[in-house]
Amino acid sequence: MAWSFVSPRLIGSLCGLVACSLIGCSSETELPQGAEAWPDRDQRRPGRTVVLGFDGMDPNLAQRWMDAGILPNFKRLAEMGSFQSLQTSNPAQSPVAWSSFATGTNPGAHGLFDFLRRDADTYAPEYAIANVEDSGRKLEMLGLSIPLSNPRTVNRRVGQPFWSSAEAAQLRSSVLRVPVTFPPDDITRMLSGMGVPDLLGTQGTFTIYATQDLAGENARVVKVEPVAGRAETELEGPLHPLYKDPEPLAVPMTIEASESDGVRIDLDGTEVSLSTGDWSDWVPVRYSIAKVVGVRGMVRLHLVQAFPELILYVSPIQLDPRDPVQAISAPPAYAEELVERIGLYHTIGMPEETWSLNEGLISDQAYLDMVGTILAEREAMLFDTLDQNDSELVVVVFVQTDRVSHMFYRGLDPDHPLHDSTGEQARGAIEWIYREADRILGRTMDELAPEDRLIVLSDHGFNSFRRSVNLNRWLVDKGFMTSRPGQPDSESLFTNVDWTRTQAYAIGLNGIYLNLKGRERLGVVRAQQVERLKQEIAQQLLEMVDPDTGEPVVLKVYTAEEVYDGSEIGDAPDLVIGYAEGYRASWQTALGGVPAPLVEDNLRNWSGDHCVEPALVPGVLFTSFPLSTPVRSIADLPQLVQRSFGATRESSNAASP
Amino acid sequence: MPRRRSLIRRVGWILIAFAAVLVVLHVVNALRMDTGGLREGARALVNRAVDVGDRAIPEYEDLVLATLPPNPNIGPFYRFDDNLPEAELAEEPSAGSPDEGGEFEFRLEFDVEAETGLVAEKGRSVVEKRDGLLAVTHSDGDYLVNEKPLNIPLANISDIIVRARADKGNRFQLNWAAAGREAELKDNRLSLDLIADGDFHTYVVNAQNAFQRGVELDEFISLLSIAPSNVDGAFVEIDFVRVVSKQWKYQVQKVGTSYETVGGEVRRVLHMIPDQRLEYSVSVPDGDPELSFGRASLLGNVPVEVAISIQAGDETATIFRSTDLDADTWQDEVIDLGNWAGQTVSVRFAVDGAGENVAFISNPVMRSASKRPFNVILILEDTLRADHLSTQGYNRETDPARTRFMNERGIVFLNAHSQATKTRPSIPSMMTSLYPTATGVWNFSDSLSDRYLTLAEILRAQGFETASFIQNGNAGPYAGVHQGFSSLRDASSIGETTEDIFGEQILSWIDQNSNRNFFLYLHAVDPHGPYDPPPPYDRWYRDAPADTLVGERTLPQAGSIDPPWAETPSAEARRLLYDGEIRHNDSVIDTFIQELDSRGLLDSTLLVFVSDHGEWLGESGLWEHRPPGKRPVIHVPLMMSYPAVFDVPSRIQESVQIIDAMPTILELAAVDDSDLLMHGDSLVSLIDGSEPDRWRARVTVSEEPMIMKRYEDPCACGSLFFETWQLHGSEWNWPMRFKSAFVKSGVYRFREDGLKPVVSYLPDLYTRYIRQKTLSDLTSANMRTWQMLTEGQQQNVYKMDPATLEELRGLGYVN
Repeated sequence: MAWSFVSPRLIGSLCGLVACSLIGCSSETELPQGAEAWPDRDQRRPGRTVVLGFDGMDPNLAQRWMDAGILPNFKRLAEMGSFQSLQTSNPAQSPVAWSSFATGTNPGAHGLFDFLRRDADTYAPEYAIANVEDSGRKLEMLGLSIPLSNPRTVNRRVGQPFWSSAEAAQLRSSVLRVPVTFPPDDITRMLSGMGVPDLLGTQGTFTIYATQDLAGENARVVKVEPVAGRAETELEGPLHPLYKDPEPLAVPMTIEASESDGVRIDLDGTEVSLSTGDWSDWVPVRYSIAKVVGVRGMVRLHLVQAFPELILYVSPIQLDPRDPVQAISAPPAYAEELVERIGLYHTIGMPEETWSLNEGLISDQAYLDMVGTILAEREAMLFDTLDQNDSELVVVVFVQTDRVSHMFYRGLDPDHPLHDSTGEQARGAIEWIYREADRILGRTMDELAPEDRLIVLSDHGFNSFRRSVNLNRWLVDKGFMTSRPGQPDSESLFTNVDWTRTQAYAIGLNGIYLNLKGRERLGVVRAQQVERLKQEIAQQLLEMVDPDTGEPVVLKVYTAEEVYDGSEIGDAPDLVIGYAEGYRASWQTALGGVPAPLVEDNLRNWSGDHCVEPALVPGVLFTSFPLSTPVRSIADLPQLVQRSFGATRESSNAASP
Repeated sequence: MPRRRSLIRRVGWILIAFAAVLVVLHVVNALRMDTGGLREGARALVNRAVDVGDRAIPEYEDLVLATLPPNPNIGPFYRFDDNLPEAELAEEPSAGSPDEGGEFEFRLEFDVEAETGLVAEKGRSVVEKRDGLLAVTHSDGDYLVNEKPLNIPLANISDIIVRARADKGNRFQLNWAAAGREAELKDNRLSLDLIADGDFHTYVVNAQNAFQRGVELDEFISLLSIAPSNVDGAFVEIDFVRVVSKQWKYQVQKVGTSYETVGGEVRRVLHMIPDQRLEYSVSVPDGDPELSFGRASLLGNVPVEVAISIQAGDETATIFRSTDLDADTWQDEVIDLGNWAGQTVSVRFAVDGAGENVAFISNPVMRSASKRPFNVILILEDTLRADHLSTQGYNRETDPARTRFMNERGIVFLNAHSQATKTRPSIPSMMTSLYPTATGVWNFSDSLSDRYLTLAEILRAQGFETASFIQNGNAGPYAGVHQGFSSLRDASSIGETTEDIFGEQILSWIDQNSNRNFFLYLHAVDPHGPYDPPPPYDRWYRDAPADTLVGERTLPQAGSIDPPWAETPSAEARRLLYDGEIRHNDSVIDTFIQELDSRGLLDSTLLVFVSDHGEWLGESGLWEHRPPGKRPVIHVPLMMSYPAVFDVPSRIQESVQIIDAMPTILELAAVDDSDLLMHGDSLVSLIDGSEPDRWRARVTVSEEPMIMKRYEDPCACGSLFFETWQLHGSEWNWPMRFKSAFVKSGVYRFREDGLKPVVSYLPDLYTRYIRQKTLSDLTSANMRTWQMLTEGQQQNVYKMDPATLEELRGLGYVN
């Protein structure tokens, strides 16, 4: 056994290496800077500033339900201090807006322009938020391929978040689950939000075990063939980190029909019984690399349908907060301590199973059950931090408002093509999540001391998503993009695009890029053609009408130079599109697809969205104190938070719950 | 003992003296030659080739053509064939499906038990049929040949498709023979790259490429053979061998662009089968816009109609309609579009008629008048040695007319070198300005891939009219250098003599296009052997003393050099006849220049005279053009006249390459060449003397790809030229075989003798090292360029893109 010759210390470092190679590590720490923006210590107001984010909370809905008396705590807060709508970022997307929130800058400076960015060398879409940088240096020996340097996950957001500069100014900060905060910043307390991957390194790969063939766009579907009511299968994990042509590691799983119309599952040694519609507790899984080395994850199981036509959902394999292969919190031990106090919780960046619901794999109820569980975890975290009472600045974001609004807008909007088929319970889902937000707000206000200050905001509002726009098809129709002759339309990734005859292409939810010579690998647009081409496309976009309704599809078109400013502007789309209400780029457009229809009904459960003209979907801003200086946009939030610590009028009127 | 010690001492002294002589000789050489400058120039040469490789991508050609800025000399124009991807395609619903079974002229599927189809000719290869495959254990020297005689009209064949997998080897060979000439099977061969990775690959061979010799268009193919590997014991499984008919090809691609031969003239065409419609949305230029095109059809006896209409606003006008399409002549048409000047209109092409015919619409283009007259005529005389021209100081007056012309207005490059010793690699190299090792055309079975951008393609895309008149097939479609020519004619339609190529056909083409900017490539086969000048140009031979004309024995290559009437001509007799051919060319070209002058074209036309290689005329006992690439076989004329820019005649000593012609032409034609992959340099700054240091430091190259192996060849064969030195090395120093075993290289003063090495062999180590290193680095960089551009596909094996594959799979072509 080769391992017996290896010293424990070496095994230890190898464990670290292996763990890091699975999803990556960051060893970078930020230097204290930006402290001067905060009020001096002796002039600082006593008490805490607490910032609560409710992702996607819409000012119109908030107003409507405050007027109806459904949101008493929001109403109370508005009367105590202020309530206004808050201009979002352009485009109105969460990672973009929360990055502006964190850094106080526009996308041209912080570098996030969309959920997706594109690689100008391959025209392929990439996840814009985090990037794994792997030097690729490997030591190849004995048939193994041992990584010599750790791949590093890097947050693509550029600039310093305000909690880091607060920390530098001796303001202890606790920041929980704010989007685009992975890897965690080195502050008093942080739990990373959107951006934390699963154990496979993806943003959430779930697995469906089924006895029949199911098509799932984003799912791994495993067909099981039970023998005498018992199916033996396995749950595949990450690739073996040390082999040259690695196979995925796997843990065994058996699924057995139980007496009570349910299933009994043995997953990696843990036994779980589920009835139809049930969610399991957390089930730990351990992927063994060598006897003493392994990586730990955890999953939740949900039985959609029992035998004979089994459908079993297994969540993405989440990092186990008690032993994450990569730190997801600051200090790293906080994630584990939190487990001791509140129990296990979802760690992945976006745990809400929107895709499964979108593809109809799980029911509305199962989805809402899951949201309820996650909401309870987040609530527990918030009050755990408030109870610790060791931070002057607390920032916590709840994304569940956004997740529910996306999936259930069909229930709210009578004009949505799916409205009629939406059930009664689903029609009330958005109202339910707003009530929940109100309840959490109320609890928070009760918890705060008179000298504490409270700021509540959302990153954007909401809007119905009735019609999908295939923007690349429009580009083809208008001659800005050319497909190779005689080839079928492509669903994704520009497979049939003749780049040498293509001047512009769309990727992501709001962007159009020019096929620029010298920037794109097969760029054909020369520098002197750029301005005219942008004008031409913009003008024709503004003239675009929905062929079925005659309604304009696009309200505004912005050039990057018009709306962005900063060092990262080179990564921006050349044109940013503000869709009219009810319209959004299709999913295929986001991934570089060129499907045939120009505009089509959105028949997915994902029925609300906000990737439209930003003026249509402002967010909300509530403060427990009156505002002395107007707050124009979400990028003004760091200043507002800074002022809340100062001896200005803003903080003189403390919250008195 | 003392005796022995003194012996040792003496030997020691001898060794020391020897070493000292070596050192001294090196120092002397170092003083004679600027070795530092040589090393730097060689490094610059290699770096540039590496840079070209770095920039080479499969989409190179499309990308450059898409981004080439418009030419300032040429008015707006629109080529319908080049812009086919932008057209809307429609099909009339009446279109029938193609005839069942008409797709193959011949096929072997090996699926039926009884049929074998192919047998091992010599019985040494083991051939067995199993699981629908023909399993062959190849024996080197043996080949598979069809069991029963075939009877395939060559004119009907479009492609040959072979699907096979092999475990060993890197080449396979196809042979064929015409009915009645079966004995020639051995001579008609095409070598193809074999991908022996154990997986099935489909090899598609264009018939026009394959059957370039041994069979005429109106003949029938009777034998078809395959040597499936070049390695003894290779195991090859053949899935099928299919010969696809031309008509079926058009049924697969109902509308497309191709090069088609009608009445001996190849043209670039838009081909459409009946019931197809094409619609272009275009802006008609201002000025005097016109639409010009030629028309013909695949079959003569099946009616087909072409109609062209223009829609502006709600009004549609039919501007052309005809059923008069011939299968043996192109008919040209020019239509005035003045009515639509300045408007955006729809131009529609519609073809109707019976199922199996195909309409060819050649070079359809819409344009207004040229902005400024500027033409290029590139005249190549095959096999012309520069030192046999009186213009370059030869003692016989071989080209008096050219001497006069050049003295008046010409730029004469006294030391131009060709990049290869044969037409086949030399022409694609000249036409792309890339060294032969980068073009992939090394030998007779190679042709230039479509992925390359030729001089003609660039000029055509800039709006030039382009035509090629050639008397050597190696400068045409077989070598892939048809690319970019709107019209091509070869010896079969223009004739074999120099008078033919500079005759009526070319003058009428010029008259037809004199109001356009044009690029004309004229390739005369003479003075290529046989040396047989017509009277009176044989007078040097006739006037010579009879006893000097007859040799004692037949000289080598008599069959291809000596005219049938001459018996055992002496070496001197051969030279007199060769010179006579040069003199003959000169007088014909003189007449041609006068014709240009009488049309007022001389001032606005860049005339370039060049040759593809020289000729051995008995030096070292060598004849014809072949490696080693020493001075006689690579020193070629390069002369230019373009009074609009070069108003002072001059004679230039620096070593230049024939691949420098293309960048020179592009610069004078005001073409933006910044994105082009070229190894040559524009000679304009050499001519005007503006960058003397750059030209002094430049190292130029001549290669010998014909004797090199494509992969892992240790031979860095060829020459570097630096200042006045030629550093040459070759595997072939034949017939000096005994010498070549020891010495494969030499350093020569190319301006003097060019044949006698001026540096003795031993101290030659350093220059020899530089030459070998440079040429082998250059070859690797160039191989990479070829790999990147063609994605490793041997030129005449067309890699099919997935969609085509899908289409073909649907039709049962591929599986």
